[in-house]
Amino acid sequence: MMQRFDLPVLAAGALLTLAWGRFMPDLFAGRLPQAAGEDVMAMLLGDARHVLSTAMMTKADDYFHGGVQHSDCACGLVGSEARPHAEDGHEQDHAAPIPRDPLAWLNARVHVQAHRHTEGEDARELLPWLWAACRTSPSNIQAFESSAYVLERMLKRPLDALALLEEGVRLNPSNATIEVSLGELALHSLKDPVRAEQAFEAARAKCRPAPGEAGDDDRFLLGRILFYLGYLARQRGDLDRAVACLAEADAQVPDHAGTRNLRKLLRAPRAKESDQP
Amino acid sequence: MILRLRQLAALARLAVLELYRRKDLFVVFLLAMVILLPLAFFEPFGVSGASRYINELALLLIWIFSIIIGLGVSARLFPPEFESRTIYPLLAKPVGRGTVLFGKYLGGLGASVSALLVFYLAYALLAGVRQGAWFTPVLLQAFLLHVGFLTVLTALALLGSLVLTPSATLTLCGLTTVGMLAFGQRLPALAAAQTGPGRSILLAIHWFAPHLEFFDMRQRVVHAWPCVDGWVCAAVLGYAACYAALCLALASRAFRRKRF
Repeated sequence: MMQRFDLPVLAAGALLTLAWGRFMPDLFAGRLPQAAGEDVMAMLLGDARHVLSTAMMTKADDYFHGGVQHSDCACGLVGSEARPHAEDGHEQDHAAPIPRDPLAWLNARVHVQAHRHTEGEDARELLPWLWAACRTSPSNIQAFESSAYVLERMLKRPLDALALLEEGVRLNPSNATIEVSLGELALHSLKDPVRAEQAFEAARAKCRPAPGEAGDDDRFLLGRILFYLGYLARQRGDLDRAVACLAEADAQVPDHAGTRNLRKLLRAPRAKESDQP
Repeated sequence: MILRLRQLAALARLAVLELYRRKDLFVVFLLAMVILLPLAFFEPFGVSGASRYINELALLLIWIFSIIIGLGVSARLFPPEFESRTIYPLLAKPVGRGTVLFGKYLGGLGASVSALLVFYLAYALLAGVRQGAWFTPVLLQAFLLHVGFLTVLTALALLGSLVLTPSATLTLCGLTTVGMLAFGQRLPALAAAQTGPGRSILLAIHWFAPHLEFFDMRQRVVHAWPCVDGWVCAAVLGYAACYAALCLALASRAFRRKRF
């Protein structure tokens, strides 16, 4: 008797299970452990992806130094002081102290102690690690900025850098820093003041410094944004707008270098077009 | 003398054949290809021409697989003979225990080095096709020092296999190898930052543990730094020979005293 119904029961059970699986996400939308649309990295790594992304940035920085970890070198891709080596005339070879211990001495002879800096086309060697840093954690703004820096300044590919920063803006819609980077790129490399002003306007709308010390970084950024907005307004002859920017800068960040520069710029007679910030 | 050399060669040949019979090399080689081939066509941000990342990954895989093969081969040289009791007919023949030990060691080392040679040839092929640099002097030196590394590793695992269980040997030797490769260079600095017994323990590790990081030339190969000075290379290989000889002497003592 039971054997007669085995197959239909099994089929009905399978159908029920499949239908249950199909309608579960609709019935419990937003209450299931995995959020819809979450990327694979987020699912696999969770918050650890930020750590992984930072590790990839460090790796890119090591590659910038010829594969050597050099925390004592002020030049690099990681950190707020990120800048290429040649700009500050910094000595390229740091002689390491000679160890007295024979084993450590031998180690120092086998493993490279000095470092050098990646320049020109060699900078493409940094890209795989920077790409991985951007992809593992899309909220790592520094990864986007460093990658754009390498593409724009070192490899002379400003359009690729622009595409990357636009992607960064799309992935981080509330971040002002990446908008500022985009504006600077559009202004300096692409010579596109309209696109630059759009980016700085967007950055101005997103930059809301918190009161007290917590908002210091945002206030510094605001100073830069207002300077660029004032400068661009003056360039297109909109002096009222430029003066309004200066007034806002005076009110929000009176001691910022950008505010001083903007004040100087507005006092001076209108200079030639090449007078860039 | 010639008879002893023949005995050594026969014992060594057995260990080499065992590696190829088990097809470990084929499996790891296939795994490396599966990992590296898709990466070889990767163009980050649409920019082609980056090659160091793949060289670095390839060398990392070579190191990992050489450790797996080196440890796997040398830690299994004696335990199966003890378990299946085939050590009795082996020792019943006119072969000294020292000859058996050294022959087995040479076999383990030969098997590991032959696998390493295959890996380095594949690496040279990869680098040659992608960058036009086939057998650079720094790559040859890296291979030479890697052989030095295997000389120490196989001796250490052989010693472990005579005094510990196979799983304990693999665990301890694996931890020592990875630990020294990762932290060996920083041990003096780590010891200096400690106080009390922690400092003494780290200094003891620094003086007695095998400094396997001496043999790691990956950084120089990947980033095209110049070769290590010849006499430094000789000093490192001398260190490998001394450390391996010490391990073999201890292993010989353990083997002579072993009751089956």
